[in-house]
Order: sequence, then structure tokens, then C-alpha cells
Amino acid sequence: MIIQLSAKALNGSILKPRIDLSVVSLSFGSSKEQPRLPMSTRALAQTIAGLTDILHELYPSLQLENPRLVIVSKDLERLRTLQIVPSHDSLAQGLIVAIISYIATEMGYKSEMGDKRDFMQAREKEFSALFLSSTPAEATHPLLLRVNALFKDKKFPEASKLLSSMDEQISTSADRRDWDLLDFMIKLKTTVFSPEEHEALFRNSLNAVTEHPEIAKQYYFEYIRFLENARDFSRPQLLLAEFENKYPLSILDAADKITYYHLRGRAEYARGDYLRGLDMFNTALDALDPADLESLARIFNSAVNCFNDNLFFDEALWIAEKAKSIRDLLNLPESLETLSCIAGIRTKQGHHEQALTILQEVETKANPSMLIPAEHNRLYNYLAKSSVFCKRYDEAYQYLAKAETTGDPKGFSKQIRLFGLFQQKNYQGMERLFQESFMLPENHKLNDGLDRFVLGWAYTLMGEAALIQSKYRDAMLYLNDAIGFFLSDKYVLEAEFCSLQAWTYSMPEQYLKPFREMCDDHGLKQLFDEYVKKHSRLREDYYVKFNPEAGNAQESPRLLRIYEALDSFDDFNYIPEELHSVLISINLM
Amino acid sequence: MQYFFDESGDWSGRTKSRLVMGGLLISQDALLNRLAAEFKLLKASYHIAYLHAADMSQAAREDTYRIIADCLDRGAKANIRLFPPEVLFRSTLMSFEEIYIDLAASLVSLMILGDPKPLISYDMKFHYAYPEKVIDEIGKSKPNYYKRIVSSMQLREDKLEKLQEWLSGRLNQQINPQNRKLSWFLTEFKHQPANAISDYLWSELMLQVQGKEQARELFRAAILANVKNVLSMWGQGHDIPKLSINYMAKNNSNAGVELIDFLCNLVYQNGSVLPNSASSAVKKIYQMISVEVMKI
Repeated sequence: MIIQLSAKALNGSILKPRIDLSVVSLSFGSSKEQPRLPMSTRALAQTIAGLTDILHELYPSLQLENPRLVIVSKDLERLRTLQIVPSHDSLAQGLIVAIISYIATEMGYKSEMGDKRDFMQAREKEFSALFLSSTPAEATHPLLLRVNALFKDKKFPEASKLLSSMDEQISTSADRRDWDLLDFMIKLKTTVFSPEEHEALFRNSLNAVTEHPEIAKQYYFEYIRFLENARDFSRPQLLLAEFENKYPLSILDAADKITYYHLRGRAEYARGDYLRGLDMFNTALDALDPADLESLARIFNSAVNCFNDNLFFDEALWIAEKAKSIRDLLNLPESLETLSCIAGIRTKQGHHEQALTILQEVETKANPSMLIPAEHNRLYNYLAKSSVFCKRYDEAYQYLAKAETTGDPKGFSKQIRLFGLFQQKNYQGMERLFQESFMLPENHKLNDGLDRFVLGWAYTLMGEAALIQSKYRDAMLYLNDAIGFFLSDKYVLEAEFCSLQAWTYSMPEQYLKPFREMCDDHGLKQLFDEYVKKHSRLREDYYVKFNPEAGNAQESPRLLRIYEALDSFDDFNYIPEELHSVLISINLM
Repeated sequence: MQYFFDESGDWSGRTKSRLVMGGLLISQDALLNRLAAEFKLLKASYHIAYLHAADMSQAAREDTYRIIADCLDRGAKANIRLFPPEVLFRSTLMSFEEIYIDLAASLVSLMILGDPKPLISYDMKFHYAYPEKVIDEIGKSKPNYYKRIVSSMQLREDKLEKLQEWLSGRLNQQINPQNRKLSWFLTEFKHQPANAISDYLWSELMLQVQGKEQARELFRAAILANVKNVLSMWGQGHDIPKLSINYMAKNNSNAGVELIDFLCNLVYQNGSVLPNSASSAVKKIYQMISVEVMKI
């Protein structure tokens, strides 16, 4: 409900903010619910006094004392953050109107029914039943609990079948809401919809529960998880912002808070903000009950790539192995997800045979019905990429064919195909594939086009192929575009490595000067300097939270060592082999 | 109403000391007028050109504190925010400068919210002209108007020695010794110091001008976006204030900027809690200002 307040800003100006608030519950009986009210004690006392006066007038025979209220308002919390003080009178008056309106609505009042107070006064019994007796929480239907367990075990077809079979048996509104939520969750996992259809499904489901923030938050969380898996990196961030705008974080219980910070961390990581991601994971760990090992493993698993992507391989491996040991212990199907993470670390270290062996183990153990389309696509792409690195091209193409059965909208499979052709020195084949896909303008669109990481690597590979063929002009243009694609998604490390290809292939001096200018126009050096300054501290700033027993590192961070090696080379006086050996010491693709 | 802002600490991420940002609100012109007069008299009696705490005698500093305490007592309001240095190291996607602008805009918009015509004076140090950037800039091609000035101007010989000393110090203190372009520049500096210094100074000037323009635009946009965002959420989106931002340097002798600079410096030295040995004027100041310890 919207109410208008009179409030004073920090500089003394008077503001008239219109704020939104929801009365979530009210009781006068033996409810154990503690008051949750984002306001001063004086305004609260004034509200309660005013409310009790009105109710005494309406129901003189009832002994209405100490009302227990739960009010949720993001706007009231925002006022506090902005150091804006609402006048007690205006706040209390607004709240009383909102509470009376809530009571009437819960009693079945509609605006066409005439005077609200007359309506309420005539229904004392209904009022008592709703607000004076503490009704025990309705128990969830046992079959719904069973569906939930099947869902957790990733047995989606079974969960779906059981849920459909019990549709008719649902009698209470609470069970209906739970049924709808489970139906939504299973549909996300099992049905191949277009992005628009998914969005419509989410919005329709959400609209049905707007008055129930406790349920609405679950829809947000489930939909965000789904989008992450579909590698949609912009929507989770926007949805979390929408959620934060609508609801105060105080509506989250302890378990929700862990989910929220975990999702925030993943969303930050997905858009390339490793540091904010790790901050969120740390906050989730702070809120975690030490006995909740499942959540602990989930957070650890998500944090692995923040370390891995910044070349902290030992730290990433320790965290991943810890997550895996917990998941193995609890016999969780997500154990395979962690195994894939370990393969990812081996890949980045350049240990491709090891990575391939691990991924093949994942493939053998994974039950196809447990993999949602995005996971299927990802696994086979990883297998294909590792196979290309191991020069097993036939196997790679078989894996790619499997990956592409679930589509390739972001171009990850195509990029591995291009990489395969590059490794096989099939430059004409690369040219064809490039012209058919990567260079098409529609594939460069920010949200609907190919992934920026994919485009960055595709253009880098084309640049490298051009350098090998001594087509320096083409190489410069490809590499310059690649840097642009990488930087547009803040892949600073990748952009720096891409730029250095020009030097490893000894591009003639007349090309190097304009190419250096192109790099300078991107501000690459400054970005790389600042990136290293921030990210070479990951171990000291964050790792200790994951592994409190970790002592000081034996040597300086790999990121810093690489930076120092690269920074000391001179544009026109260097040994290409030395530079090349630095670049191949890790694999960023 | 008039607002003054400044900051203390190294906001370029090179040191791990605390960071401070402060805002001052003076709602009456008469109070600002009095403050300016008091500062002028103080400078005259101590023969100083600027109010810079580190360069002042203990007696001058204490007198300044007394004037500030008196100004706060008469209705000026100061909000100081204290940040841990790690605040600059908490985002992959935002540069140090963007984080600085974000935090500064947040403080400014909080203080001006509701004021239809805020007059803002800001002594803001954006980080566009550090030596590494200047050296990078030297090698880049320049527009003709720039080339015309550079080719027709010559460094004064009597300034050469002093500038050589100044630039050496700057390069030694503020630049990564492994910087790719440094070796080239050092060779130039050794063999043709006049040319190198001249190149450095002109490039620095160019960066200052360009950087200030860009940063000011971003800063204004960030303040307006914050205010608009808050007001539109409350159905008051049409009440966007008319912003007037003047960028001041301390040597412009703007009394409001001088005061908030002094306060930021004081909080930078002491943190949120004063030592027992603090003077009575300083204790009085701390009682009247708000020092928010910001979390990351």
C-alpha cells in the first residue's frame, strides 16, 4: 500500500515521499511472531495506540492489547539509509490506514461494499477468528514434500509425473501456492522454451503471488538459477536489482540470506566482477550455520572460478576438492559439477590430458536425465575443447555434435570448431566458418548475439592465423577487434594476452607502432595495471575465509609474476620466444 | 544552500591508509561570510597563504580548529565518511576513479537531497595525471594546436635544475620501476632533460584538462542520477534540482572548501575516535560533526 509521509532531509528540506509498505501479518493472540517494524519506537507507540483506539471502538467487547505486527517496507529502510526522518505523526497516521485496510481485506472487504468500518464492525467473529486465535501452520501435503525431494535429487521426470498426478488433490491455498512453485521449478528444468516464453512464465507466476513476498522470493531465486545455467549473464543481475528494489532484505530468513548472497555472488562472477563475487560469497559464508555442509559446498563450488580465472590454481584446487569431498560425503549429485570445476582448473593450467580424463569420468557418471540442456551443452563443449587441445580431433567433433543437439545460441561450440581448425592449420576452413558466423553483424549484438568471450577468442584465433600467414594488416584488425570484444565484457587478462600475440609472431615494426596505438586507445595498459593491482591480492584478501589454516604463500602470485614478466619487455627490443613462453604458461581460453 | 566537499588519503590505490571524504553544509550566507573573514585574519596573523594543516604551526592549527568549532556551533553541518582502503579493491569492473566518483556522488546527493538549487563547491582530485599516465601520453600523436604550442615554447633555463629535481622525485616515488615506457623516458630524461621535461609538462597539462572535463561530466551525471532515482521512487521525479558545481582548489581560498579540507585531514589523522590528548577545540569539533565509518 502506498502512503504519503512528511519527512525531513539531512539539510533540513521538507520532503513528501510516497512510500510503499506491506502489512504481512497482525495478531493479538499467543503468536510468537516478533514485531518486524522499520521505524522509530515513538512512531511505533503512536501507531499502536491509534490502532488499538480504533479497534476498541469497533469491538468494545474484545480485549485487544499488544498487537504483534509484521510490516515490510523497502522505502522505509531506504529513508533510514538516506538519513531522512519521517515525522512521527505522518508515519503513524499512514500506518494506521494501511493496517486497517489490511484487516478489512483479510476479512473479505472490497471497495464496492460501502463503508469499511461498518463492514468491519458487523463482523466481530471473523475478526476474532483471523486475528485473535493463533492457528497452527498448515502442514504441507506429504506428496508435495516427496516431489520436492525428487526435484532435489535431480529426478525431474519423476517429480513432474508425481506433481501432475496430485493436481486434483490440492485443497488449501497454501498447498496450491507450493504446487505452483514446484510446477514452475520443474518446467524450468525440463521444458525447452524460448527466452520470451520463460520470461512470461516467470512474470505470470510472480503476479499470482505479489501479496506473498515469502513465496515471491522463491520465484526470483529459482528463475535466477535457471538463467545462470542458460549462461544469460545480464538478467540475473537485473532481477536481483529488481528484487532488492521491491523488497527489503529483512524479509529473508537465515537460509534465504545464504541463497541471496550466493546468487548475488554468482551473478557478479558471471558478469566478470570477481571481487564483488567473492565479497558476496564471504558474506554468505558469514551467515552460514557450520552444520549446513550442503550450502557450504555450494558456495565453495561457486567461488572456485574466481580464483581459477585469476590464476590462483592451488587455491582454486583446494576449494574445489573441499567442495567435492563434502558433496561425496553427502552423496549429492552435484559432486559431478565440482569434478567439472576441477577439470576447468587443469585446463587453465594447461594439463589437458588430465582435464579430458576427468571430464570423461563426469560423462560416464552423469545420468542424462539429470542434466538440463544448458549443462549438457556445457559438458560436451568442455569435452570437445579438451579433445582439441589433446589433438584428438575426431573425438572432439563427436562431442561437439552432442553439444549442439541442445543448440549453441552463444557460440561456444562454434568457437571450439574454429579452434580445432586452427590447431589443424586449416586456415581456409577457419575463414569459411568465421564468415558464416562470427563476423555477421547480428552475432555482435550485445544481448542477442554471441558471447563476448566467444567473439574475443574467435577474433584472436583469426588474428593468430593471419600472423602465421604473414597477413599483418588482417592480423592487426582481428586482434584489435578481439581486444574490443574482450574489454567490452572486462576480460582484461584475455585482452592483454591477445594483444601480445602481435609480438610473439614478430610482426614487423611498421605494424607494431600503430598496433601499440590501438592498444593504447583501448586504455589496455592502464586497465591491465589496475587489474593486476586488485586481483593479485585474492589470496590474502579472500582465500583465508575459505581455508583459515592457509599460511603465507611460498611465492608471489602467478598473476603478478606474469605481469612483471610482461611489463619488463620492450616494444622493439625483446625475444619473441621468451614472450611466447610466458603466454603459453597458462591457458586462458 | 551552499555545500563544500573534499577528501583525504590516497584515492589512487597506491597506499593502504584510510580514506576520507567529507561534506559541509552552510545554509546562511552570513555564516560563510564570517568564516571567510576569520580565515583571512588568521592567515594574515600567521603569514600563511593557504590553510594546510601539515604546513602550519601548532598555534595556527589550534586557532583554525577554534574557528571551525565556532562555525559548526553556529549551524554549519559536516558529514565525514571514513572508508577502509580496501574499498578501492572490491570491484573488478569499476576502476579506482569510478569507485571514487560513485562514493563522492553518493555523499553529495545525500547532502543535497530536497534542495532545489544546491550550490556545490568541490576540491576534487581525479587521478588522470599520475606520472605513468603522463609517460604513456607522451608517445601518442597530438592535435595540431598542441604541436604548435609545444614547438614554439621553450623551457626557461633558470627553471631547468629545479624541474629536473622535481621530476626525478616524482618518477622515483610514483612509478612502477618496471613500467614498459619508463626506460625509454629515463634515457630521454638523462640525455635531453629539457626536451623530456617539456614533453612531460605539456602532456600532463593536456591530461589534466581532458581528464577534468570527462570526470566532471561523469560526476555531475552520477549525482543527478542518484537524486533522480530516489525522488522518482517517491513520485517526486519532476523535482530534479538545478545543480551548480564549482571545482575549487585549496589555493582559491574558498572558506568552505578550506574548512572541509581541514576537517577531512583531521579525521584522516585521527580516525573516528579521538585520542585523549586531543585539544579541547578538536574534541568540540568531534562532538559536532558526524563521522560515519563505512563498511565495504
